Amino acid sequence: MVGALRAFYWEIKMSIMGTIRYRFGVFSDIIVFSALLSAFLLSDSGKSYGSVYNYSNYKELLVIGYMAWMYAVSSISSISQIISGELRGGTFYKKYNSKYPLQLLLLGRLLASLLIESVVMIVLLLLAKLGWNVEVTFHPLIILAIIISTIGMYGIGMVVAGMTIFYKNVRSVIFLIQMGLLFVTDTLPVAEGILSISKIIPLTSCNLIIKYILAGQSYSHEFVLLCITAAGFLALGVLCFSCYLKKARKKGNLLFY
Amino acid sequence: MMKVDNITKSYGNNTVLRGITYNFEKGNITTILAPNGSGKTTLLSIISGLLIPDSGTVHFYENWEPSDVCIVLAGEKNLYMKNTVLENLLYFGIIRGMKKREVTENIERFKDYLPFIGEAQSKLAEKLSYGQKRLLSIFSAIITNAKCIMIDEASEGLDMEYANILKILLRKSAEDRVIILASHDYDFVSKVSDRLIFLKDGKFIEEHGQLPLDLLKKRYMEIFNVDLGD
Repeated sequence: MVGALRAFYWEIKMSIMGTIRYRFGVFSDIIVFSALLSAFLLSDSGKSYGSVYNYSNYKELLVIGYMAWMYAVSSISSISQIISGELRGGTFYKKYNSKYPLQLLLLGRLLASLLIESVVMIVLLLLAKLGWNVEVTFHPLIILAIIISTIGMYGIGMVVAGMTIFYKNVRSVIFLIQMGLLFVTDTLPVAEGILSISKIIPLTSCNLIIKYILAGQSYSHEFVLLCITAAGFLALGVLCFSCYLKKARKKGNLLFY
Repeated sequence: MMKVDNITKSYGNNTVLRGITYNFEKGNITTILAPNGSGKTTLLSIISGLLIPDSGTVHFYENWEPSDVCIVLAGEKNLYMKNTVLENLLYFGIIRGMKKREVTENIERFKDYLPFIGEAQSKLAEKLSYGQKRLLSIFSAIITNAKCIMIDEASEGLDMEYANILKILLRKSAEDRVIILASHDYDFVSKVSDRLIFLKDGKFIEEHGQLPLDLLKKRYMEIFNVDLGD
């Protein structure tokens, strides 16, 4: 147990040290996510939230939903990028033969990515405050909802990671998922019909919970749904990842990176 | 100790391994010799668990587990390039269940044979030369507690000085483990190997103890019908 925690800690440490030495990646994230958020704020994208949730500060709803989306897309894309990078760099093989479960080591890498993402978010919150005068209220349950949603979305990330191992290049699939999530999970205003279907995605429940909490509405039903869908997606992710890994080991895909 | 038992593997219609059975003994450096594309890497990958054979099994004895196997692939891979030499060494030891202190002790134990490691501990791996990266990746396996180390194209990209260092390192670290090499460097393998196995048509067709270089080259040319020159 101690050894596993030590390995987990070292995964985070190695990843953060590597990222700090490659600062451009963080700067480019800040630029891209800032530009996108600014575009949404400039175009008044979340205006309809005011009437839907009966909450005047609709920009706050937009910004905080955007944060939840950023964590979700990071947990989906990071793990796939990490695996494809490690397969190309030859470090995946050593991880695979380590004393600890591969999933634990990958989780350490993901956590490091999310920590770096948090730095990007702090910059975005400052930008929202200073540039757009949007102040975000953080409620403990909002943070909890974002954490649960991120764990559930990690399940989708594991499915994509499994596909990365087997099919190698799934960047366009990741891009489609990222953009799709932006438009169907109430990160940006979405039609009621789509919302009723997209509720099976943890990020949708998370976005609804955030808005209900800030608007002072009841959210308990959504919270239960969030926990169930997050657990379901996580289980699905672990299962799919194992299946794809086994298929790749059978076909020899791991050797041909 | 470790045994591969009746291992067979095909990629589509191409069968690369046909019922390979062999006991790998502790304390021995065993080299598998064959031209490119003959299935050496496939066999190493099956032993390390990266590849599932069509049939056959890998048996581990004396409480050995699949995770006691460490594979070092060919090329300047196997390292985190944005991390320092020391971070890489500590990390690869720690994910194999070692404590930081144990890894440090092992680095100290071997570092006299590898002077650049001592000088370059705070250097980023990407700043090392090709040969240094190659040696570092092999060293990162040697200093762990892996009971079986498999190195694909062991001396690839190493000059004579580094190849000599590698020979010494492998000999020093082979005492209580299985070391399996796949290499084309006849000079290197003739000096470092305890057992030499020729792999042809998916089978181990011939096994020798230590062979002098001229005899090794002669047998290689005869078996694979190639001309290696002088």
